[in-house]
Amino acid sequence: MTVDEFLDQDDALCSFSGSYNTIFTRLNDPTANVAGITEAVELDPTIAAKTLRMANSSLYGFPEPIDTLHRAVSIIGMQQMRQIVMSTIVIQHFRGLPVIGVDMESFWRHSIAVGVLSRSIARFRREANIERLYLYGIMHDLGRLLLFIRLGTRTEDLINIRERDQCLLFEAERELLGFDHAAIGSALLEHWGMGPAHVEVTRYHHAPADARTFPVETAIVHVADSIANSLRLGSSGERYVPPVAPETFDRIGLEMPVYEDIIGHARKHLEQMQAILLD
Amino acid sequence: MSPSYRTPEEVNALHARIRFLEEALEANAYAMDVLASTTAIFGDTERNRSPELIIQNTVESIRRLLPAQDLAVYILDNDCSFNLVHQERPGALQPDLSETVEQLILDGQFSWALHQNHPVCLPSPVQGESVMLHVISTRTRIRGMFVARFCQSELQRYEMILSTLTMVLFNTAYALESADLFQIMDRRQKALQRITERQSRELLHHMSHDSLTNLPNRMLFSDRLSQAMERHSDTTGVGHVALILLDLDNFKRTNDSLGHRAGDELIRKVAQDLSAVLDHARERSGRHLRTTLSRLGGDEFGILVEDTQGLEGVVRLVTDIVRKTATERQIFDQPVVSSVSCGIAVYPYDGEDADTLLGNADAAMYEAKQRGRNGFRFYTQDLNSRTFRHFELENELGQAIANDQLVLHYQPKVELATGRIIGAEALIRWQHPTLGLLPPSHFIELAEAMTLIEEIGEWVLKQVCKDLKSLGMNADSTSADSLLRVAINVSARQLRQPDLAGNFHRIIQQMGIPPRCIELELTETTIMDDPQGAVRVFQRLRQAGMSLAIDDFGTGHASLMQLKQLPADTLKIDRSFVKDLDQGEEHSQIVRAIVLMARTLGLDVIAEGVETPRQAEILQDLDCHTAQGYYFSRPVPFDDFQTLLRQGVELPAETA
Repeated sequence: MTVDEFLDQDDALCSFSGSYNTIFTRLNDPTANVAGITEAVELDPTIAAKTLRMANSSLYGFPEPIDTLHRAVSIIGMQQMRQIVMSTIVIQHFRGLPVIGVDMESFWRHSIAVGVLSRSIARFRREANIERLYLYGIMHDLGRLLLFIRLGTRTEDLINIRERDQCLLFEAERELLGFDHAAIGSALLEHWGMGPAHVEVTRYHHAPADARTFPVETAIVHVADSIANSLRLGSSGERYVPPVAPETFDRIGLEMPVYEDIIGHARKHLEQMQAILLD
Repeated sequence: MSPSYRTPEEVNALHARIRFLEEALEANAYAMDVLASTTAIFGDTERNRSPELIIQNTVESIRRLLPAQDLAVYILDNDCSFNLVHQERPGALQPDLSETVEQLILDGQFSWALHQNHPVCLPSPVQGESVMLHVISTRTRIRGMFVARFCQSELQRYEMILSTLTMVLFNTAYALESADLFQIMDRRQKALQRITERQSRELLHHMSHDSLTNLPNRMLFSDRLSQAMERHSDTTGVGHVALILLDLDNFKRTNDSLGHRAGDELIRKVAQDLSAVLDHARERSGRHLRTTLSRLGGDEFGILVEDTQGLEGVVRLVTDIVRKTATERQIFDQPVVSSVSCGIAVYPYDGEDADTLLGNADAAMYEAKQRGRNGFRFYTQDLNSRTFRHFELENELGQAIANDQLVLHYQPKVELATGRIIGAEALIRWQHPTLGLLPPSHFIELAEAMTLIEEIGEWVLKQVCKDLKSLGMNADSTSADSLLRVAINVSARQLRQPDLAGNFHRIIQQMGIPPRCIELELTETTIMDDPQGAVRVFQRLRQAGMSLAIDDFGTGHASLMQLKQLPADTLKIDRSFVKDLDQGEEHSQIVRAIVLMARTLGLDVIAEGVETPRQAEILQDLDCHTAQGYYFSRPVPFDDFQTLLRQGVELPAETA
């Protein structure tokens, strides 16, 4: 089996249906204006409601209630809003699919944790658009979800290899299939027309040294993944903590004590995010 | 699908979409232009390092980007408050942008926006308008806030512009930061430089100065010596560099008996006195004299003197130093008497380099010590003996009184008719240890230059009084016959002494001698130098009871009127007139006239320089009845004079 075969099998998994598709397409149009994005989000009441709840959450800490999507877009920013909506759609889309061998609740808790941690790291780096790191974090293990669905009962083989070799899950994937969830995920994102940064981050989040064009973003998600695993903030099937490549800390450029603050900041908002997104 | 199947609505929507895309494209291209020109914002050169310029460049960039109605920049100052540093159109629109910002600050939205690293658009109080806030911050520090007011409909399509705005403001923040850092660095560097300079100055001072006296130490002194020698190496003849080494006499004794603290105190006081002497000398010399005083260690001082006018100034200075430092000082309430010995080496005679000069000056100082301390010696014997013979004399003269080397000789004044001694002129002599008996012509001029003349004058008066006393004169002597009158010469310099009359009167009273026994002689020339001063002094001396004589009469230019005003008692006919008396009738006419005039003015008259019996005879004929001169007696020591008086010898004594 190849990565392409993985993606080709069934359209239902790899593409969105109905309103999700419309919103997704509109969000990916770089020339869309505030009104356009607002209209698109309003197509799906669930997404609209979740987006508004997100905008009003402690993560954004706006001093007054934001009561319309239009205001949310202009206050939080158009770029930022895109990524928030997109992550919401992805979670909604995949939550409805049947997966064997993994606790969906735990999987998404892990993903949201990596998203919030990545965003938090970017925030402490005072980056301009920190929501894109949030999106990268949320979607970094999407390939594994696809993998589990495709493998069905064969997922057990994967788990057996992990137990036998006492290795990391993505190493077991490589042994079984010849490629891992990072390859599948990045291929999926490419298929969806996501930006090159997003694709590269997902592709190399277990091998950050190979990320050539977007090393900092990749390093951030890589570190956030390890932190989320070590703090046991949900799980995507990994039993052990993936080791951190030391050079990634240099790339991010923050002093070690700052990570305490980053984790503190993420923990503060994580529960609320999970409540909004996983309700 | 062909276009004919499209509804008109669809076509319109597509048109609108195309228009929108074209506008967006144009805006994006424009944003790229602005991005390309943001290098102007970098605060990386001296020229664009001022915050004002950075803000100005930022605003210019943004103005090209944003279709804003008004925009403003707030900058965080050192007290962490936001100040409005730029507003495009203050007061032009209502409400003013700054008022809107005030409201946002009150509502907390401003501080919220500070933590968003992207533009946030907040509802404006005006319908259809928005207020955009964008923080100006680096990754580590918030530097300010950018605020713009614009029509909502205008901005929505320019997404690329907002990203560009973020970049521009990010650049601005870093430019401000680097400008700030440059300033801090600059300040630090300047402060550091100041500190370094001060410390090296202090260190240099510390290294080059003596801590006890704060005078230059041996190191600096050697350096100055070398410099001075260099300055004078090419000037031939006139300029000299003299190196004076100076050592306290018997310092060790003071140290041993009173302790080291007292020794230090003495050194400090001597240093002060030396400084004062040098200051005074420099002041007096105008610009001729350059001096450096140094403490070379222990009780040894070095003085470097550069005199552009020759060595006279140097010698005068050393004489001054020796005299003024030899004094009694109070050291911790103990009187300490100390004097100094000096050795002098002169560049280039006594050495071509500093070490040789120092060594030779030291040798000279040792010799000065050997010769009884409290004095100075030149290293070069030649200088001591030849050109500087009289300077050494001066040095010795300074000590002559103390060493009891001055003596008085008396030349009798005789009543011509009887040959009886009626008085004498006291004449000073210096019994020099090596040169023998020196007449006043050898040293009185020196004494006047040295200001020793006052001291010598007083000594003479005292000595005369003593001698008179041993002749039996005292305040009770009333008999006019037995009254012996001794004349003392008063110099022009003495005449200028502030209280000459008072001093003389005091001395005479102390010695218990009748004032009438003392006669003061002043030359006519001296009087004519300052007739009014002379009148004043004469009057006071007269009041004190002393009598006055005008010496060398006929050689000055006194007018009759002045003579009349002068309260003198006696005219002394100059020896030049007396000498020619026996040469013929015409020569005696002047003497005759002088005598006649003296009689007319009611003055006594005496002739000096009488050498022959003929002269004495003629004088008597001319109505002059008293005289002095070799014909009667040379000036003789007091003992001989006393013998003459005792024996009642009539002069001239029979000799052959």
